[in-house]
Amino acid sequence: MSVKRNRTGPVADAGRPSASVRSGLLPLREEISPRAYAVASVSLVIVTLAAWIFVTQRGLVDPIFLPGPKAIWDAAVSMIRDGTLWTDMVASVYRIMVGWALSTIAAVPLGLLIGNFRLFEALFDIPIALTRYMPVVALIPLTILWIGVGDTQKFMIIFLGTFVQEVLMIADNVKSVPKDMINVAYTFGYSKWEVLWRVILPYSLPGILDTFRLTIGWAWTYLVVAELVAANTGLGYRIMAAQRYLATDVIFLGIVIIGILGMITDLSLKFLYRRLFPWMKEGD
Amino acid sequence: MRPSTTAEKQAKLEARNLVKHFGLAGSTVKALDGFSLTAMDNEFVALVGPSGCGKSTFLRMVAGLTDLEEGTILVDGKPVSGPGPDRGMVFQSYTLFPWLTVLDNVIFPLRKSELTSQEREEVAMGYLEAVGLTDFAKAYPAQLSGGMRQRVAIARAFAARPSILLMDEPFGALDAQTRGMMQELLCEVWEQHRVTVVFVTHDVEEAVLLSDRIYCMSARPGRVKEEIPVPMPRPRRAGLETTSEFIAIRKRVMELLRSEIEANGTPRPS
Repeated sequence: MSVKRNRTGPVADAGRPSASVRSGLLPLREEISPRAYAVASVSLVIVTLAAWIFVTQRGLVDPIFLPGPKAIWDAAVSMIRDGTLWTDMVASVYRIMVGWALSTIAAVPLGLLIGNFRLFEALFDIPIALTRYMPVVALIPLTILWIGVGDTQKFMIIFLGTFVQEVLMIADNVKSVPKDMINVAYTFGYSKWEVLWRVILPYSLPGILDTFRLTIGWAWTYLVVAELVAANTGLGYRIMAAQRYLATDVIFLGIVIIGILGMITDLSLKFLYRRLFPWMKEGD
Repeated sequence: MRPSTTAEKQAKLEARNLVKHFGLAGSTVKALDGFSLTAMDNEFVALVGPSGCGKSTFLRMVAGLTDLEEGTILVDGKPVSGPGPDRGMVFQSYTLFPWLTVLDNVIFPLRKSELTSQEREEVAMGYLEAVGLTDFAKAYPAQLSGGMRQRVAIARAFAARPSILLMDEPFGALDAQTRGMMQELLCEVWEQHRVTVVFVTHDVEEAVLLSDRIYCMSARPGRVKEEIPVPMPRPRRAGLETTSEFIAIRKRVMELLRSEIEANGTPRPS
């Protein structure tokens, strides 16, 4: 019977240190109380907001350099009313999605090939080394010359900015599978394609999803840069246009919206990660 | 009681005159030199030797994970070429698939069989019961202790029904107490589900406790120095370590190992 035979005892406790080591607000690499964590996680935001309100309300800074929350709120309301905020958001999100998707559709298979097969690693070794530190921003004039200032040029900049790094990261995700885990599947009579499909792929999926999360973040950066240079819609364009009229409130609004959209993407991918990979969680 | 080596019994595994080199920090090192070993059908053979003597290299060659250089390895009279389900292996490192539950890990090798999914589950549960982990069937490996993970790995290896089970220091990463329990458990499971085992260890006591025969290896380049039968009756249970027979065999193996280590200086830790 299992209870009798359960000889190594219950699930391993990772060896909790004594209360004296864990006490206080700064235990070294240990948990703190959930309440302290919750308070700490919002306190910097609150302090920053409070300082901002204080400085702008008192008129300590010229609103042209730093507008107050009220001015930004007003800008948001008027841009929602005339529909430009929505148009800009849709334009930017659309460009991100398509640009990043194109990069990912190409990067996943290539990363899998490079991570799994030495021949592909060798084939792409020099091309990747040559292009990986290429300053994508410097290519913006060239891309405009080639394909103009439309959406395709934005896709291309996002693609150029993320693709090579994404390939390398996916190759690394794939290579993280321990050799003996692959070997053990071979000893069960699995072929190399079955090992690829049933061992390497499921093992590296969480890492690949994390790569997606990081590369979407870069896609935002490249998109805004591209829109700052040449566009007639989008949040980057709105920021650039606002600068011409010293509409600092609109610049701030644009930055805040980009921050919020980025955060939403990040949090939803983290949520997806926890839902898809419950097995990554250790202990009870 | 089982005879350990008899002429009329079939040799399950036969390795003859193996030679193997491998590259080490820029130079070539001879790992095995004229290594020969035989394991009979359903025999439990232990392989002990100083660190770096090529014990693990030999196991990997039998498993088909490392190529032969010179010599032959026959399993059931047929030469080994590449890995196959007839030779299972339990590694020292944790090799459970983290995305599969304990039960699905044990089912994994059975997915290649003709069994229906219900039969697979029944078979897997049977092996989980043998290692005392039925209560953890739905847990993920990350939630288990090191000892429990190796118990699942052993259940999984047995579930594959290999004709030879290769064990590469499977308890090497465990603490002494867990190790003792695992040895006892392996003894029990093996006595229920007989299979030819080649067990690599550097723990002499473990070798005597578990095996029917011990092959003592020389320091690098490794070859078999002596073959010591362990004619102790089965089932073997706790308390065996204090019998004079056990102590005598252990002493003999220890002396062989010590002379090997002293003659060759302190080997590089592997």
